[in-house]
Amino acid sequence: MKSARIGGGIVRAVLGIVAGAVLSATMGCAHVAPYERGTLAHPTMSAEDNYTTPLAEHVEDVSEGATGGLSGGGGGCGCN
Amino acid sequence: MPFGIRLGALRWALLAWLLVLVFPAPARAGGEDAAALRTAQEVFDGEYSSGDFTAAKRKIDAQLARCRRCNPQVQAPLHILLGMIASQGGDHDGAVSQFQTALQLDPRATLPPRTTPDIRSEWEEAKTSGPTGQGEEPSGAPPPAPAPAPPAHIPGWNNVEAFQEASAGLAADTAGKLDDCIEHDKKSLELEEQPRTRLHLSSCEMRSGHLLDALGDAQKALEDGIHRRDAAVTKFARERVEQLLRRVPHVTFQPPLGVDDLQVTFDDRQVPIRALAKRFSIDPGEHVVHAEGTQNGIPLTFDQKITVGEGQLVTVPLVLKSHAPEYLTSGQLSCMLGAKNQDDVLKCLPQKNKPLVIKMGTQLAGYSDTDHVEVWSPEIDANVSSPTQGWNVGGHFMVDVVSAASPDIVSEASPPYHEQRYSGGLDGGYKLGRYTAQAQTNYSSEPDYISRGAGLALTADLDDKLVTPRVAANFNHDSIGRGPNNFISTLDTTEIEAGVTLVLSPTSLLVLSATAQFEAGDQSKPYRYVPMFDPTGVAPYIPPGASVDLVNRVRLPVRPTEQLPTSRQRYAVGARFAHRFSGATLRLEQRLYDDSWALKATTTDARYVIDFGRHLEVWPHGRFNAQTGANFYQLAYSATLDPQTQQLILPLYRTDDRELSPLVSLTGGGGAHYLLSAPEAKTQYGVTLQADVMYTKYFDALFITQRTAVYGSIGFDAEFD
Repeated sequence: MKSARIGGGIVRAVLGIVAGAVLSATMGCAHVAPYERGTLAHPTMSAEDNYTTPLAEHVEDVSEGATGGLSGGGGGCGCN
Repeated sequence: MPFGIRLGALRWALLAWLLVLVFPAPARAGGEDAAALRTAQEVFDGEYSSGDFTAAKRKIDAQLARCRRCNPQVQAPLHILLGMIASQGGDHDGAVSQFQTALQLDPRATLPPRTTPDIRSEWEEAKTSGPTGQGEEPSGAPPPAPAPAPPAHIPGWNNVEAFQEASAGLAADTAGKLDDCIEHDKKSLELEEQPRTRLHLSSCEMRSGHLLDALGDAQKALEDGIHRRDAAVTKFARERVEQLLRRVPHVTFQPPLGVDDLQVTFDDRQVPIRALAKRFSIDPGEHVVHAEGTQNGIPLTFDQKITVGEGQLVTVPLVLKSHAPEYLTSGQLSCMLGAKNQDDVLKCLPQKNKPLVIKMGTQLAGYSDTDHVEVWSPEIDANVSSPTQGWNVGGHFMVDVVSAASPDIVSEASPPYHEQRYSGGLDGGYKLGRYTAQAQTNYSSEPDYISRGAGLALTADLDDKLVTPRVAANFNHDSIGRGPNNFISTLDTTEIEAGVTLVLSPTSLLVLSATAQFEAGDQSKPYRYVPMFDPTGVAPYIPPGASVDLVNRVRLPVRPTEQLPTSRQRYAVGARFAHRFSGATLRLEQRLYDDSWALKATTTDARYVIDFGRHLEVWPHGRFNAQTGANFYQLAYSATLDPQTQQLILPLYRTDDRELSPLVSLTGGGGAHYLLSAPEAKTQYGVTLQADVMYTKYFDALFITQRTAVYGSIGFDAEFD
């Protein structure tokens, strides 16, 4: 019973990733030329979360039952 | 030189002369003196200036006839005027005669400045040939009289000090000291408003190049002259205003397109953006124009010095350019457009030779809630990276100083506790080609809990950096104890993460990620006691938020410690979307969560970062979290007595951890970051302020049904090349 739940969770997570990737691919992300990426290099466009302070992160961890989901970005596209 | 122009130049100089000549000895000035002086001024302003010498002479003669008891020093300027009229009419002898009379009346008399050469010549002749010529003071002449005492009252003036300041202004004018003239006239006007003083101030300002000030003062003198029905002032002020309106230069601006956060200053004064295309009156001379703003996220500036002559209209096109070398020039863009592959593109870019980039930050954070928990948390962090060699190392350290006296503690008759939690970590990474490996390790310690962790993340730049997948694994080993050095259980956590960052458009970014976390070990808190209730008569009737007194009154004597399942699998998927508008960035996050304890949650987080110029960013922040309870969570647990063994049967899993109960939390707040240095500076400093209020509603918890927490931080960051 428990293993079935675990398997279901993994399947849901993988499906979510695949669905997101397909969705983004259909939105035409490959059409951004390097010289068009100036805006993406703006500090506020970081793929990582630069706004949540360590204490705020700790507060969220201990006051919400959930965790994970967005541990970190991929470093950000378009930033030289 | 035309006569009319010559007269125009003389008008106000003569007024100054009259006042200087007459007012130094006003002790005996009475009504006749004031009337004589006024007549002299009016004649000079009117008939003499307009060339009507006959009428001018008639008026002065009439005044002299009425001026039998006038002060000789008042009569002298009248004769000087008669001499000037005679000279203008070609009556050389008459002019010399009148000047001699004037000198007899007042040996210290002088001509007004900037008179004609004929008048000056005749004046010199009168001085040398007259019986009391100034150059030949007769022997036996009486010694000069002592300086008169300051007058108690000046005709036409209410304030003696204002009169003295006006006189000093006139004297400064005749001496060619225009700045002093302006200063004295302004002081006089602060004490007493006199349209003639105002007009004289306007004259000094005009001749010193301050046309706008001169225009303002001339307009005020005109209004005052009309109000007082002073024909002479009105006439001169009107002419002055008309003259200045022709001479005042103007500037207008051509704003750039596509820069919404444009700011423009002219000589350090802010120019209203909506009025940029209007014509602004300015003084002639050199001026400084500065403009700044962002276009497609790139900070741009414009600086120009302009020199404007009298009566000119100058149009300034505001062509903003990037001063930062990391932004692309038009030549680089052309080069990149012609590139056939990524390597060609890279050749178009400036080669950065920054050996090291050092980032440092420190902050102080605080937390307080209605559950009587307070936390102070200082933190420092630092990072060193080499953009050219692709490596980076960093570290952080923080201390949580916690004091708590929550109902959970009170219900167990425990005293409020104070403790410190120390947390630190090191991280480092290396980029090799399109692949980056980043490792991290962390350690935190508090009296009854120690956590050690390490992790590794790998990313790859694919499809010209448009797609950046990431996989990561983290492992934590925690020791849980009952007090210092009394650790009784361990918890191991393994987290696997997979994600991808996608460039959706030149202004949009999407991060998708999923995490699976596997916890193994007993994470029950050994100090957390769970109240038990009678299963039939009490437990069903315990209300959410039941008070400590009520719980202690109706609970069973048994008080077992918390017991949680010894394994937990936690899954979460998340998305982070960032979109850059013109002058603002929207950041949205969404997380969906499920775990093997049947706790399901949704969390939404949003920030809208607004640029205010190049230095200030301000953002509102909101967060919403809703969750169900864990499948073993109960508001009131029951213990039953086994009829055969006569032993209490306790529920296998039991907890009063509110974070495992159904709840909803709503957070609202915001923050601001101010860049203390110029954005293009090599060394940058910034200050960040953040504050949030979090409200949590507990639907099925003992002791409290809601909690409000306030937390925030102030931080300082610096970056050096």
